[in-house]
Amino acid sequence: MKIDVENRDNGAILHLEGKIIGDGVARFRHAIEEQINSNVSWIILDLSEVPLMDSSALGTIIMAFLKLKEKKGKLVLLYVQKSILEILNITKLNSMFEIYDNMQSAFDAVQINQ
Amino acid sequence: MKINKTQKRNITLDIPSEFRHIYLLDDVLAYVAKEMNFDEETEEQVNLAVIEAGTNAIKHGNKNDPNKIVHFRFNISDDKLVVYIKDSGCGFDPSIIDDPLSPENVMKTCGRGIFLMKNLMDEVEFTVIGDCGTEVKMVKYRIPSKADNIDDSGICNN
Repeated sequence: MKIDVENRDNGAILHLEGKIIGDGVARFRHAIEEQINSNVSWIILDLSEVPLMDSSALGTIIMAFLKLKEKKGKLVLLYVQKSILEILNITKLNSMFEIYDNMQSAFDAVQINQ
Repeated sequence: MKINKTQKRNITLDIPSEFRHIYLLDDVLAYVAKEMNFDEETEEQVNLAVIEAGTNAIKHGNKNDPNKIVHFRFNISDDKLVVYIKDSGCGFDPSIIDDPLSPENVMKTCGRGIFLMKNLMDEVEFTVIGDCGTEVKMVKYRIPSKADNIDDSGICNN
């Protein structure tokens, strides 16, 4: 699993590549916590290259979402693949997260709070 | 290829209880899905369900002890896939797990693994084996596709 972090303004876009499973979940958690601890106020998770994630990876996204919300920040999802959308639907998390299918809309959404 | 209706075989995989080995399980699952001729959606469902079961076995069953092994057995037949996952843990009662869809739980950071397994597979059964482990049995039925009715010569057998 590959993680590229693009810091922009006071936030971060995390470009993820590969399945977020096994020990990849810990690497994902570490990367996302590093951004939250460096006081970013928003995160866009680019999931265009993520075909699968397990429930621990979902838990990490929830953790980041709640921590940013506490700080009046925001986390949104971008380019979510069909297989992951199905999991979000089954777990009812689809109604909790904002999901975008283009970068500009995702970027506009996180900027609204600023 | 036409699937032989009497064909039935087992694939086994033993891994030490370390999360890095889940990627090896993922490779085996890709092979099993190909053998089963699953469609893409079914393959993804089985993949996630077995990965959830394997992750649970490593974390909750074997407590991340690399000296303890998680055993996987894939029973492949023409109409269904049966997967057995066995750990060396103390066992647990799956009925006491909170409903992850209830409003107070939906944003919890954990507790969705078994729920997903039950939703993605056709049958899920837990057996506590004495004091030496838990075995999860999961079944996924295969919906025959049009390709199953075409033999190696390309002639449709419908």
